[in-house]
Amino acid sequence: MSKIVITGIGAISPGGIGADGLWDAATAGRSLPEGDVAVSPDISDLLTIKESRRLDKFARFGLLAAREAVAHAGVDFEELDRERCGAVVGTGIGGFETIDDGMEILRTKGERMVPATSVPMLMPNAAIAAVTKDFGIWGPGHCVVSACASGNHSIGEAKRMIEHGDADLVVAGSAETANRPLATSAFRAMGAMTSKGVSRPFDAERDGFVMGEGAGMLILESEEHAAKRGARVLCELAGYGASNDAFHLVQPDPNGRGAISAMSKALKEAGVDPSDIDYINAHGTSTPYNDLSETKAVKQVFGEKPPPLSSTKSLVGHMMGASGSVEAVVCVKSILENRAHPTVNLNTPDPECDLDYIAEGVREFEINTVLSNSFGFGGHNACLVFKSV
Amino acid sequence: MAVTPDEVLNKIKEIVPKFGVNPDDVKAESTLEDLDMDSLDVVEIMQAIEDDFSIRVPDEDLEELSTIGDAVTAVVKNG
Repeated sequence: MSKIVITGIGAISPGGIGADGLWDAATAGRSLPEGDVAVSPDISDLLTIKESRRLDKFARFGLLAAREAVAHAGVDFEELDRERCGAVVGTGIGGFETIDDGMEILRTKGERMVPATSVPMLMPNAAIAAVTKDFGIWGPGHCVVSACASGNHSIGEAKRMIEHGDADLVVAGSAETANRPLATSAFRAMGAMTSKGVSRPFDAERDGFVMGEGAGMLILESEEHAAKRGARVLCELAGYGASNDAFHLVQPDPNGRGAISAMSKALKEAGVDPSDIDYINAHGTSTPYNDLSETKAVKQVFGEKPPPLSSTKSLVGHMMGASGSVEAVVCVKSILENRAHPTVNLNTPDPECDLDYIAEGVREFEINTVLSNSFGFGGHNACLVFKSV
Repeated sequence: MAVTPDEVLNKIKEIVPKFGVNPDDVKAESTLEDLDMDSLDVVEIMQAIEDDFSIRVPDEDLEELSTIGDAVTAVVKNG
């Protein structure tokens, strides 16, 4: 079967605008400012009023990340068979801003004042609608929703779309902007967000995540298609594995059964042994539950010598449905530059979390094969393997 | 209290920047196409006008709109 390659990347994150803004923030190794909600990048100058006014914030983020990835890949859809181009753009929630504002209008001003465009703006597929319309993508497309695994699932399902023969090129990624009180209050009540204002994955003092907003986008192509149009190949998307815990609504299986299954499937599909993985971009949310069960699962899969890991989430926040695709951009950069960013704020080792989490700063070493983990509420797991070319 | 056509036109001019339209381009004879607007924009404008003037314009009065002047007339009739 043809290899699936990545030819473009784009991102919006609390680290900044663009894949470079994200990577610079990650490799600078600066912690997020104290607080449990990360400040979102200001994109107000990047879209015209006409472009943005019927788009919820998550769709605006997704559209901008997609435009960056398309430009980075040098794709001109006018020159391609647009029936053979697809898109998969996931999210955890969808147009949360529109839902929140719409409910306020409904309660204060009544039914007749609810904006007519509310539904097409709040629907989870609003971002993919914006992306496909912007570029004139006529092939297959849909939105994947699986909480914090949405990003990895979207990229994995886009890989399947090409492998199945339905498309030659797919814009794949996810977007999330849910920093609204309904979400933050609920996460605080659940104890999922940090009460101390610091994300510290795998640290003994970890007590939850810092919530962020963002979008990550990749251009996936069959190797032949990329070669035919003379595209520069960044790396290969070699493996995708997915599973369900079927254990608890929000807690991961403490034995990591689902995570082990998803990692193993991704490795198998990539045709690599555990010892071939040079680096793992962990899910690493900084919650007591996730980081422990992920550590246990990694040990199960990798045995005696697990590769070094790091979590991106203390650097740019936990972007929920966008996290997997933003971290995919980080993985591509790690392979291109042979550098892995640190797990910032990991200062007090947890005796139960005893892997090599790259805490000292950026580590430079040969990175050819990377595993990226995403595990979502609902027990959905999706893992990806990236390989250098 | 009756609403005057000027009041309605001024209100529309006040709203249109939200749609990326220059208020100076809004004239009674302007069509939706002239202003690069569509029927969903009209719904939004009418919601703002109804809210502001505390009136209600029945849907049937909005069916035959083609110009800004038609919208003003529909509002004034119900004002």
